[in-house]
Amino acid sequence: MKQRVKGSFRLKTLSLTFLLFVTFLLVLYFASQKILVNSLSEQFMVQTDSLTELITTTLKPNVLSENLTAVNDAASSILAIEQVDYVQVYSYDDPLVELRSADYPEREFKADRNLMRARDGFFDVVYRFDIEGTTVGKALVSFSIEDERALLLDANRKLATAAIVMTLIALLVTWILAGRIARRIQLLEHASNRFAAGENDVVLPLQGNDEIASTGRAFEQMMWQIREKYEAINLSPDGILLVSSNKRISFTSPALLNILGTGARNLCGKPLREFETLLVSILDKRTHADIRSLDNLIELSDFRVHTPEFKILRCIRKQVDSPDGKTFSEVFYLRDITHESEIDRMKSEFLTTAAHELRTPLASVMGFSELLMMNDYDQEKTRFVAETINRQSQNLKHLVDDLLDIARIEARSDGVLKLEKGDATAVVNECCDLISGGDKQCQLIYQPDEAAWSPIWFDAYKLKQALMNILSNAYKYSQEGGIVIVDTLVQQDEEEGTGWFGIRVSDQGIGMSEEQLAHVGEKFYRADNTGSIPGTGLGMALTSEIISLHSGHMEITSQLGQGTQVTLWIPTADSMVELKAHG
Amino acid sequence: MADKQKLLIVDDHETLRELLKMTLEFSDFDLYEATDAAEALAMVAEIKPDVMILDIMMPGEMDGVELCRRLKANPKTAHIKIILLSAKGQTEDIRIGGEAGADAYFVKPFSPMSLLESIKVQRY
Repeated sequence: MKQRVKGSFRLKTLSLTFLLFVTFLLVLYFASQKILVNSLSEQFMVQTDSLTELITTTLKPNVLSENLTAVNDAASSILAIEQVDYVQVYSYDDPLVELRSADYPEREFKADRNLMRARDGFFDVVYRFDIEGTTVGKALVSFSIEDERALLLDANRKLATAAIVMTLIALLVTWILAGRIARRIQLLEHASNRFAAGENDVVLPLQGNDEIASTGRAFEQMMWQIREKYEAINLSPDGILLVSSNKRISFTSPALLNILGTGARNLCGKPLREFETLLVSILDKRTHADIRSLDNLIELSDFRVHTPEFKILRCIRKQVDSPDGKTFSEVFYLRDITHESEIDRMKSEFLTTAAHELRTPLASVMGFSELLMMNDYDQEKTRFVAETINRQSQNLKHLVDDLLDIARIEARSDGVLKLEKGDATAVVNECCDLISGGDKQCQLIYQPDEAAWSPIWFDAYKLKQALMNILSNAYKYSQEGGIVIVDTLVQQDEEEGTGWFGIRVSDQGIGMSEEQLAHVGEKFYRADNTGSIPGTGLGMALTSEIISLHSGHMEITSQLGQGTQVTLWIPTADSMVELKAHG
Repeated sequence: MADKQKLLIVDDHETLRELLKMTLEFSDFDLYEATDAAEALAMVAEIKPDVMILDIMMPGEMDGVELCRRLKANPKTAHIKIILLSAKGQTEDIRIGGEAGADAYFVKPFSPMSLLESIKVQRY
């Protein structure tokens, strides 16, 4: 780890250690001093005690008897003692003898109580001669305590050295340990910063089992979770834009580019203003001429743009407060709702068209009935009018029925087909019977072929509806007496491995042009619009819907003036095609 | 008595043409019919009608509104009284019809008697 470890964690630890050590050492020093002095004093006292003995026996009596010579001798022998450097003897207050050693300096005699207070290297003691409470004389003795002092100094020096060395070692160890801790904490800090800045592959090389390592692991877990959310955001088809507290764009999701086009390519890092400018620039000028700012746009909620493709977008803004609440960042969410709006629009268009389609037959019913009410017509005319009213009412009924069917299918509320597995023979038979009994007389040729059957999953009622539609179309667009052929087919799609069962209706009627063919199945599209051929235009759309629910498809071929063939293809029961609706 | 006036019915639905013809049966008009705008234009040149009833929704390139506009724009045919018939009855649609120059606008389903009244008014 070559990073420079900055920061005050190390310094703080160091200073703390230093202070602790200094305090400790000071305490140690004073304690040691006290011990040393005490032990030295004790040693010393022993000596002075033995001197007391001497003085009492040799000096005192002679002082009392005023035997000067004896006093002198005694004093000399006292002086002869190693540490004694000065002796002065008094009888009452009169000095009798004063002896000093060679290196005894000029100094003031001060009776010391404290061995260490003897600064000038001499310890002064006063021995009093008392008789029954009265002081009859005294002896002043000065001891040289150089040796003791030397001892003390030496001891102190040794202590000091040890202390300094220990302190230095302690500081060094602290330096290293604190450094390692600080470095590991810094790793965490750097990793956090890099991750926050948007780097995705941040790695934390923290080993060990201590708190820092576990914090690091917790941090890695957190990064992982954030990355998960990141991925989710990137996968979303909705555009997301993040703006940091300094009003700069910090993140744009990939979908934003899809939604806004190439202008959104380099938005990251730019000021928010550029996003605003981009949005305003792609606005549909006709609808949103007066929108200049992001705030206005967001108020609008849905707005039209050209990127240059036409789209309808929705923009939502969310504010996210900083941890200390003093500032905030923003999240912008852009959704392409063109499709939804289109579907809404198509639905209302469909409804509007349906409503209009109802008006025309209604106009006949209303108009003709009013005429009947107002005028007297002959029987033939009356009959004609009544028939027209009736026919148009039937039209209305079919229209309404078809609408309801489509509404149901669209809403998928009826989308769960009641499927049975089997062969659809009964359905085809029934349809052929029904259609033959109608108004127009055509030649229906239905030749069931044993080989061309296969069991399928189907809803009998709906399949009948679909087939009837196709059959009635065939009849409608055929001439009177024309031929309509119904047959069945079985096909195998080698590639996909699916089998198909088809019911085919062929007519030789007016057929369809390519343009008409293209529009077949559109709701309300009617190949013949003259009103001479009845129908609502919803039939093919319904059939198409029903076949689609059966996971099948419709195949139509037609030649103008020659005829049309419609085949309803449904997957065979044993094929692997996944059914859309299960009963 | 003046010559009988000519009325041209333009509508692609046969039943509706029938209804209009019966409505106008006892009025003093010579009735003609066309099934789309193109045919109507041809007939206008030929028979020079006085009144026309146009359905707005018709197949082909021109619808009733456009046909009305053209006829009114042409000084030779501007005098023809034009009544528009439509399934669309929103304010907007009526306004468009008015702007095209129509003399009357009827929304389906309509009352034949009202239509008749309107035509009589147009006539005078």
